[in-house]
Amino acid sequence: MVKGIWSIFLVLTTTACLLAAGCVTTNSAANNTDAQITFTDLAGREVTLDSRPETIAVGFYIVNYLMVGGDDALDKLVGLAMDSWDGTRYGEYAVFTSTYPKLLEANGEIVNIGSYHDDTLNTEKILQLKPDVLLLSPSQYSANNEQVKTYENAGINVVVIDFNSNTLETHTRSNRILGMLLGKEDVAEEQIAAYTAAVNDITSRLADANVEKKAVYVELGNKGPGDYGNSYSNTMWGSFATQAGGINIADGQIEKYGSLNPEYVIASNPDVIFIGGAIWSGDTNGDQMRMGYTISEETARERLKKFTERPGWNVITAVKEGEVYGIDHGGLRTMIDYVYLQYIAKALYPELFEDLDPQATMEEFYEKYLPDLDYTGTFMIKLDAT
Amino acid sequence: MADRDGAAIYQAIVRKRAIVCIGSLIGLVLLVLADLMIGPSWIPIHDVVTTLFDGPNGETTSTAIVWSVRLPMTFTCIFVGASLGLAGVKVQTICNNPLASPYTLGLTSGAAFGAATAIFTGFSIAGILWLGTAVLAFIFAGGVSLAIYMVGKMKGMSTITIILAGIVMNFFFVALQQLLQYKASAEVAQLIASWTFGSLTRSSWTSVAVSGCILVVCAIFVTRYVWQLTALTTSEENAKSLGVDTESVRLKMFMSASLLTAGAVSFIGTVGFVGLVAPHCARLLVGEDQRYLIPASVIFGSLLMLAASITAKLIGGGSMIPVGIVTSLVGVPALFILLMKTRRWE
Amino acid sequence: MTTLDLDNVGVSFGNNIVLEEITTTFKSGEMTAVIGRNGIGKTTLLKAIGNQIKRTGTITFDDGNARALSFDDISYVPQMSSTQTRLTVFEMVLIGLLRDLRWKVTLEQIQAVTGVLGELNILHLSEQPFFSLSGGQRQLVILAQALVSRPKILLLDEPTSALDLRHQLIIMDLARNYTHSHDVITIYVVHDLNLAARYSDSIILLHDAKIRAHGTADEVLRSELLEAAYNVRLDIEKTGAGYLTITPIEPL
Repeated sequence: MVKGIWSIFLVLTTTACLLAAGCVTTNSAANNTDAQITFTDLAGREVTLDSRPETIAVGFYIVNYLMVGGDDALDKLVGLAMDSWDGTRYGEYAVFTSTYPKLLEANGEIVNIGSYHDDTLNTEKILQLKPDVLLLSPSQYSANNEQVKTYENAGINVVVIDFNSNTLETHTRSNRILGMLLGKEDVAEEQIAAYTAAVNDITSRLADANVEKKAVYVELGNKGPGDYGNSYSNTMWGSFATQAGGINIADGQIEKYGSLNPEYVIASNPDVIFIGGAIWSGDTNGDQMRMGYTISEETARERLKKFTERPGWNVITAVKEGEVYGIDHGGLRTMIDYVYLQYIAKALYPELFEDLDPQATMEEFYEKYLPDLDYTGTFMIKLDAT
Repeated sequence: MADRDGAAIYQAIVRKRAIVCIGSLIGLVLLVLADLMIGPSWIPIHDVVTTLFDGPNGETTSTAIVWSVRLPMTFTCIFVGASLGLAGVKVQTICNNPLASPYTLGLTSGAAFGAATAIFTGFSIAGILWLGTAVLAFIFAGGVSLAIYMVGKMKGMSTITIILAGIVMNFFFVALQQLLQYKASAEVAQLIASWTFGSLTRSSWTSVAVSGCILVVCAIFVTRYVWQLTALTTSEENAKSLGVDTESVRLKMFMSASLLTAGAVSFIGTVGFVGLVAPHCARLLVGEDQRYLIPASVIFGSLLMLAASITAKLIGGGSMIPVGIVTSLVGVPALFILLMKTRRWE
Repeated sequence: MTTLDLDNVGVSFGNNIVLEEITTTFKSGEMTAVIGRNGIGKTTLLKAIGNQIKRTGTITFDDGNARALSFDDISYVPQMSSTQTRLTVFEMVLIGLLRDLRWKVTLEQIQAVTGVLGELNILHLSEQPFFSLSGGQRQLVILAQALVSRPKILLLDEPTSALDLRHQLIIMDLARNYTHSHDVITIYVVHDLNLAARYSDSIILLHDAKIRAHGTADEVLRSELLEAAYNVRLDIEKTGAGYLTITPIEPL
């Protein structure tokens, strides 16, 4: 009697399994459109999504997210890490919240899931929100390692992308993942292609041309002329300076970033100087270098000029020949940041890169991918308006 | 006969001290020259001398380096070290405690909080950021000393009062500063933190002038009180019985020490241990006679700062190691050695 | 001869009257011991004379012309409990001249120091640091510090407490010799009644915030006065050598 029931049970279960397997097999036509999405994210994790996500919470890289996804991506956005966005990237905050009011926390349309800058995430809110995907930066991922397990267990897919490392490879892979998540693979590939082409173009021109290398000094102007801010080596602006064919005077003196000895800067006598600017605190009456969204050219030039008046800078070649430039520190970490590489290359070797127009390229990018955005501001500027 | 013996005795007592003072002064000159020579680009001594004589208007790199970078830094070193040494000896005398220093009295943390506030809010004066930071640091340091003064007025300016009030100030302002750092964005927080490592890159001819003036004024001021301070080091009662108005002296010394400390750290950031170690060293070598102890502390303070600056440059190469870190790193073992060498008091 | 006149001197802290109606005269060349129970105001009296605390009443010093006391006339030596320093003996005595010291030390000042060190027989200790001395030696140095400025009035607050017998006698002998040879007014507070008996030209007994008695040892050191003041039964005798000895018997 028992044996009988047991056999019927076994038969039914086996049939069910076979049917299910059959369904699964028919569905896993692995072309990532309506079905599974699989990739390795930038933290080396194998991520598998059953279908394209409908709801996404963004921990970091909201700008990149919108650049790939546009308005459709905005619809899918349910959460964003917004604390201190205005304090950290004021220009970006002002421009993006006015163009896309959904991003304004006060409007209550999306949930604030944590801090814009210090890797703190609000676990409870994320769990309540239960987005299909939670997008994180590498530092957010490592700072919240324990909580990630909780998110995964709750059915939230955590995806880590990296635009901070600023290499071709990481930019490419990260953008590709965004494309997959947002159903905009073609947009993503377009941007990747443009980026790759631009970088390769510069590399090959430099290789063929055999120019005499120029010495470059890059500094973040957040301390004003009165104190020397960070310079970079093999990261961020430092790696751009090297890729653009310059000799970064910070190489060998600092690891990644740090401020240089003023004397060393003067003694190295750089041929070209770049000062990075942004809006660091709401106050606009100081003398930090200002660049980016909403900043006027006059302001930028005014601030830049003060740096050239530093004690001892009158003997530096770059200052004597007016080869001093301002660049937007917030411009890094996007798929259009290669225009800064172009700008630096053009400043170093103008004859070699005469045909490049980084400003125009940047504007085209915005027109194409973020047409509603008012990107008025100053992003690249030379001290003398020649 | 007694006269000659007396004079001989007196000479024997003070001779060693005079030698120490003169010797350290010579050492100071040598270190100054060394500091002017050393840097990422070594400038040999005759070049240094020539550049000095040529004046600040030359167009060569050496001129720019020596006149715009090294001279302000070296002078700042001297004046900051001297100010901290002078403030330190005053504080140690009036607190009758060899572990007292401008640092433990909360003066430097007041200044640090002032600077943090300025950095956090982007406060500037005449559009100049570093000036705003320096002025606010100065004001807050002054505020701390005023608060302690108020407490002293209410409860009497005794040693214990000063020390306890200072400790409270220290904890209070450090906590406030940490609060600011927590609320600030990552970059601003890093700026605040880096200010607390005193760095000579923030030197300028303005900072030299300000700290120099304060030093000279306070040094002249203290000469009136040398013997009263010497009496104060024996004991409170002994000093009082000799006619010293101990509360008034302590008050004046405290206020001038605050001024010195504020002038020293407001521009370049927190520099620890100099105000503690310099007077200690000086006391070991010249004793308690304030006519020698005070100048020795001043000179030793400068020596320490110059040594730290030279060390920072030698280690740092092209990057700039904040001198405040060097003084702290070196200060701890130095203090340890001093404590071991200090004879046990009964 | 110089005199020190106290007229209706009083000291109070808040509502607490410590001393009142203190009226008496001191003569130069005389040592006066101030005795009385603990807390009765002996130290307060000394401090009042020594300009160390606020007081009511007048104190007049007459050395030819009568005037108020100035600080230069007095040396006040408090109880030496916590003085501790690495200064040498020479320097400790030197700062007794505090009010006149300038940056440079003059030959006269040096001579004054060596002079008083010699008088007190501690010249050989000149270069030793103060903290290395014994209790008795320290007290000698403190005394020298008080005497170097040639005060006209010497006020000593318990100069012999915590000293060994030998140094007690040395200190008191020195004080007495100095008083007589330099014609100063010496007033000192003491607990030991036998010392008071032996080293005084006059004695003041304080009781109930007033002067209970002021006179010679024979006049003041009587059992009825002392028993009332100290609440102790005492036995007062003269030894064969003529020293007055007071032996406490039992508390009353």
